[in-house]
Amino acid sequence: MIEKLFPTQEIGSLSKAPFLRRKLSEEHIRISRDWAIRIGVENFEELIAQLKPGIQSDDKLKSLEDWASLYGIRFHESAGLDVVYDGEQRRVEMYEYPLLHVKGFRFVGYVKVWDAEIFKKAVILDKPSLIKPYHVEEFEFAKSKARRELKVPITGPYTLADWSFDEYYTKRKLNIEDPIERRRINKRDMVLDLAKEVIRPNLEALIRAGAKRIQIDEPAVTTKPNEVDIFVEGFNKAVKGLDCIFSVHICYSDYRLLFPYVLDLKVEHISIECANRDTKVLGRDESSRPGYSVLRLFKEYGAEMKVAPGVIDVHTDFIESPELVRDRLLYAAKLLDEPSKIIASNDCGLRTRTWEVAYEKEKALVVGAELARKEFG
Amino acid sequence: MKVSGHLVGPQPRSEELMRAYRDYTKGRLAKQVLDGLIKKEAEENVKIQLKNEFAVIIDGMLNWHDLLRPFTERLSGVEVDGLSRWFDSNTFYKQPVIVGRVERTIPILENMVFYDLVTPERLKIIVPDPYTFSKLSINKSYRRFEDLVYDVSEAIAEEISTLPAAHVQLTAPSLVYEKLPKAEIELAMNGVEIIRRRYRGILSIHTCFGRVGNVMPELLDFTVDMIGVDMTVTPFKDLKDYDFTKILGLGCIDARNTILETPDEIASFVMKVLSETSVKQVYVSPSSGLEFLPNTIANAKIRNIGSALKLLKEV
Repeated sequence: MIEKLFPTQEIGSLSKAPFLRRKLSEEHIRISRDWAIRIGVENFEELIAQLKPGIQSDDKLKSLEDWASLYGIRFHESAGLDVVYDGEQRRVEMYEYPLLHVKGFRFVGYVKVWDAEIFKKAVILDKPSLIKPYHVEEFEFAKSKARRELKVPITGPYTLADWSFDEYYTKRKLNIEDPIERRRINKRDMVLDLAKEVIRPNLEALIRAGAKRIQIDEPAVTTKPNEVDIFVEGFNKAVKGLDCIFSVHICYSDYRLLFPYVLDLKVEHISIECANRDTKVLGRDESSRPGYSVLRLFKEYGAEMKVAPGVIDVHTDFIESPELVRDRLLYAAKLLDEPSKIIASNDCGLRTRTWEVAYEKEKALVVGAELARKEFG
Repeated sequence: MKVSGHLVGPQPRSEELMRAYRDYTKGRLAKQVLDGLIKKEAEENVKIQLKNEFAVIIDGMLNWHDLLRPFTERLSGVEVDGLSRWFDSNTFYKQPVIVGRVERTIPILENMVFYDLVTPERLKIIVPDPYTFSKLSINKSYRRFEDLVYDVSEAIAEEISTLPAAHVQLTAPSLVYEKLPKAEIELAMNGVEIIRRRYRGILSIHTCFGRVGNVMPELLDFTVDMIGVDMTVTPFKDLKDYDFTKILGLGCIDARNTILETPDEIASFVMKVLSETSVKQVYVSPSSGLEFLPNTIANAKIRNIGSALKLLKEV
């Protein structure tokens, strides 16, 4: 990471580039041109010349993915972030996309997450194995274009396991009467197999391709409080001995449940969501900054890792002022009692926001971090 | 042998209905069309339960976004907050925020249940137990938690007393999800007692997402007719230590796994419970609502319960 206080980074997904849509209008083409100019996409005229109003075929959309990736990279770079990626422009989402590249799973249908939100869920029927590393081509393109440091996001083994139905491991005959203990053993074996057979080969392939920094996304880790240690074991198994800087991103979770297990995690930093639980008023005290109280735990437990608390809420169009970002960072630094261990981040990916809102938020992150830096001369 | 089948929570929406909900949310589908689809699917839910000879019938609760929602939205003194995780699942509910005295000032389940699909004698309505509702809320108003539980109990009791249903189930995961102090269990029991005083039908309490062992002695003292247990997290031995005076709901169909329990397995388990414990009467159910599964798998599980009931009838 850049050697300065409060370096800035994005977290993952961005909504799709304005031209990466089935039904394209003149307006979308105009917006695509405007964004290219605004964020500095080189040779964008070549793209604009290819775009025609109407329905775009699957092949056409596929052929536009490099452009979308380039837009994503320039979006983050021009906002001023220190560490960037392409906003996951090529990916469907963080669960279905990886499992399309893994043997042993079968998609069985949609289930509800909340209200009208659903996801396509898979069942594991056999020991998992990787068909082909699934982020390498995407990374190689990003590497060829990026002007800033890159961080590749990848879904972690615990989340892939927890979001799937398990038939393969559950059907084994284990001579254990306690169903909770039986479920824990099955889950552990599933997570460790995914870590070894799926995630690790992906990480190795990315590192061979030149990745220096990888973020493992694990939003599910506190879902089952008695399995947090399994997440840590799986994570460490996946990264053991690999020459790369690893971080973990965990959002919308009860972070208290991570302790003490998280202390054993082999990571440079942990990225967590805080802005969503915070107030919007300026201030560097407990009443103004309730969203950051979890950082006390990192201090109390003597955690060695850096922390990337979210200072940008990705679930609202409210644009944080740079001063609010500054106060959040400074309060987080105060709780951790070590400013050099704070990284300025979003709560999560900005996928649910428009590019306009997301861009303003990223710029506020950058300017806010700069203001925080100034407080230290 | 007379063993019945029950559903104990929301049914999953079909893929078609899920997409319809999304389209409606995005303004691409008229409310009337969505309502038509919900009704049609509720009819199918009722039909499959009748066909498989379930003793009591639910309409599937397809228009409930979560178990608490009608109460969260319609109880006076309660506001709707953001999303919160539903126990140890990858699903979320909108958290109730208690901002004033909780009261039932309007009907809560109006337009939420299809009363015309099932006769009152067989209709079961499922609501949150008062303690669970209170525990899952953000309390910004009551100085004492117990006062909140009592007011929620009164409000739910008032609602239930108006319902044309011979069966009411209180869903109570908070009683078993974490080990509770005795005083909390007693508080929950008092809340149920308030409901019991107002409701004359068959009252059950269904515990799920946690092992029942720790609270079983107290549960047996709850003023309910039936106690439902999540057998996917409760060891069989937890049932052996007590003298059962109530009907036991055997939640032995895993509502969170796609593995289909065979009719033979289900029937054998029922026989084992009846022969090795003091339980005298049981009903078979999923461990919780089947809402965690794709609709097709949920229906396959219902059919297997039906086949198991037939096997048991022959015993």
